[in-house]
Amino acid sequence: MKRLVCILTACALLAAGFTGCGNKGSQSSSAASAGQTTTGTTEINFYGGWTGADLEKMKGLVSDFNASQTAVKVNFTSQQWTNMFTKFLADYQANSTPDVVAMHTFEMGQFVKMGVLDSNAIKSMNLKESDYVKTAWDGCLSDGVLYGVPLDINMHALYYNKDLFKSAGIDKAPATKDELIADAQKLTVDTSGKNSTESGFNAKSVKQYGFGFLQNHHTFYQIYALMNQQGYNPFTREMTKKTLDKTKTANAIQFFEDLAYKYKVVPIGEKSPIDDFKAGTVAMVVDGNWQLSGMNTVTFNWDTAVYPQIFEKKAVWGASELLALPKNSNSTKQKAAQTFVKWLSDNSAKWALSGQIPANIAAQKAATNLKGINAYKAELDYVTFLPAHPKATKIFSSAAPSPILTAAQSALLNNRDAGGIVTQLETDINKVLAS
Amino acid sequence: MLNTQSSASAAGACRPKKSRTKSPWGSQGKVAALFLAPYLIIFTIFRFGPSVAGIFISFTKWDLAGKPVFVSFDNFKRLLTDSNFHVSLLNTLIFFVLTLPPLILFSLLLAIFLNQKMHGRNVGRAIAIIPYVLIPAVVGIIWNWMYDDNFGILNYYLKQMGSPSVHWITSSKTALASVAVVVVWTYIGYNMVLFLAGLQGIPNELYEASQIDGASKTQTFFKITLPMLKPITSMVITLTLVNTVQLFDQIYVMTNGGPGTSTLTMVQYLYTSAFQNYELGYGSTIEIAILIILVLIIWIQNRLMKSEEM
Repeated sequence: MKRLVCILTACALLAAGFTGCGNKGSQSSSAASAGQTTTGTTEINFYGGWTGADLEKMKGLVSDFNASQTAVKVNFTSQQWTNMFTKFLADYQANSTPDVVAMHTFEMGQFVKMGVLDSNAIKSMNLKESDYVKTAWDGCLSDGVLYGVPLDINMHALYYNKDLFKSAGIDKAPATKDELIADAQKLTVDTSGKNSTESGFNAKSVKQYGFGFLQNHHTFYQIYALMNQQGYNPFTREMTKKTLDKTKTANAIQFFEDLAYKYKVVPIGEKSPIDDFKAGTVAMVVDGNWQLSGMNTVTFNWDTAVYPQIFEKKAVWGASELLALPKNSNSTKQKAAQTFVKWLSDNSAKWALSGQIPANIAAQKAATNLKGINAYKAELDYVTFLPAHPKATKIFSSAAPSPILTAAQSALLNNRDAGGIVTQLETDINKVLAS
Repeated sequence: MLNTQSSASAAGACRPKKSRTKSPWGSQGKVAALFLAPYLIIFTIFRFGPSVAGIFISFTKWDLAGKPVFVSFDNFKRLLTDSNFHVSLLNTLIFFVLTLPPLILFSLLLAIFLNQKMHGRNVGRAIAIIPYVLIPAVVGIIWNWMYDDNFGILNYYLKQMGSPSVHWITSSKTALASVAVVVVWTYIGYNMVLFLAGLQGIPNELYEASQIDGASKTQTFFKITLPMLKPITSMVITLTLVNTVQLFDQIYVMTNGGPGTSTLTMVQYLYTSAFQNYELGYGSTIEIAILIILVLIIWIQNRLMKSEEM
């Protein structure tokens, strides 16, 4: 009897296991291969990489689209960009590709090379270049062929705490190198109340820093901006080998090392500059417009200013998000995807509430401006993007052993010689290009 | 006259019984197989199957989007000259050396302490195992904040004592050791449980006999406890080796292989190659390398243990 009970229990467990697996499989296959329903609505899948406050805004837009008509229903999935791309490729390989995929312009190059994006589907949408911000439009081109619909533009700018500025006797945000250093020094204060220009200032006991920024690949984006401010943009879509201008690259790197180690106005190892800014422990931070929608919790007076001009020209790093259509043999779903993408582009005024700047000019003009967006808009004429090189995601990756991450952290966290960092960066980039 | 039946039965009683070898597929074996089946099926589909597939994929170039292209031993040749792989291998070995001694020593001492009859020992055992049952990513996030250079609790107390702040995970000199501390903290309870089981398996008579012989506590520990714990210790070393070499979550959350490449381990590099750079073939090659290194170290460890017994 005991034996029989044991055998029956084991069978029940096995059955439960397979049923569970079976249910999951059928759910995912229904989500992954959505098509025409019995009511004539075409279901499509849209993958995005938003995980912050902008995720809710995109969910809202998708809901609005679904509510506005019955011909197309969009199933929206969003997860961290890298994981989303892996899922996209795995689904593509399994012949259940999503119908719309969001990505950044510099990520597009690798997918173009893989041959997974459908330029003909974009072409048949008959978009007009004049309807979009030129930089964003150009970012969607590869060898003159359009592979995506520009959605938005984001870049760096300066957030500053007006109350702390007022207390330090500063009446406006810094616009030049000297102003930035001087203001940051006045705003870096130790526990005894002395700022970093005063005698007796204790750099080991700082309660408030003058200047902060993300000390990861975003530091390199700033280095890239400062290279462009010297009139030097070394990276192209076609590059196969790179020799960096040692002087200009080292100048850019040295500026950030000096801020951290010479002037001591930057908290070394800072993890979340925007959180430090909101907590009032850092007076100015460099961050993107994607942070704007989360600034409603701030209780002090703040504003944004254009990214300071450290060298001869104006330049700031930026990126653009686009909507791409993977190759799809289902023409009904492809048409539905085109309809959704066009709608999203034309209605991206609401997307501006996430802090992003719509790449669609008409939507940009119609958009409700979030507080702080004007500084970003003022940079549109000189924002510079990293190229959509097929190996861009390896070179400009945010994870080790990314060449740019190693360079940035060697500078900020280890204070290595700037010239040595440039040499290593060049070697690492060429290794990736040659692989 | 003998009763043939009784004499036959008597003869039968004297005749040695034919030994019956138990078939592994007897009724008990079948029940055991049924209970093991769910795990074995899931293991085969999700662990063993992909591992075997990885061996074949390692001979290809595959970006996940298209079809795998056979490239013979190109990936293995690349591995030999890839400086990033060499860095990850060195980091993994250093990480293992940093974590193994404390994970053996401290967990053994903790097990000995919590094996004694005292009030609250069950509470102590429960507290010790808590870090192990926490989600690794959560552990990484918590320690990230504790390690924060400017506002973390560790540097706060250092500043209070007049000591300078330490760049725990933002300096390439200290990042790997700082992550090692987290891993030791996480696994010490788990190893303690294993050692505890081993300690409770040592017959009490041995300790009684040693007491009668007048052995000191130190002599008892080195002559009885440690030798009797050898099989458990061997198992703990093997499990620690496998766990530390395969560690991913805490490093991914805390440092993501940085600063620079100072915490880039082989598993981290495998993940980056396969799922961020879309080089599944090369990622599988790294997987093979990890497997070979693990098997080699475990084989060396087993040989050393066996030679000590001889």
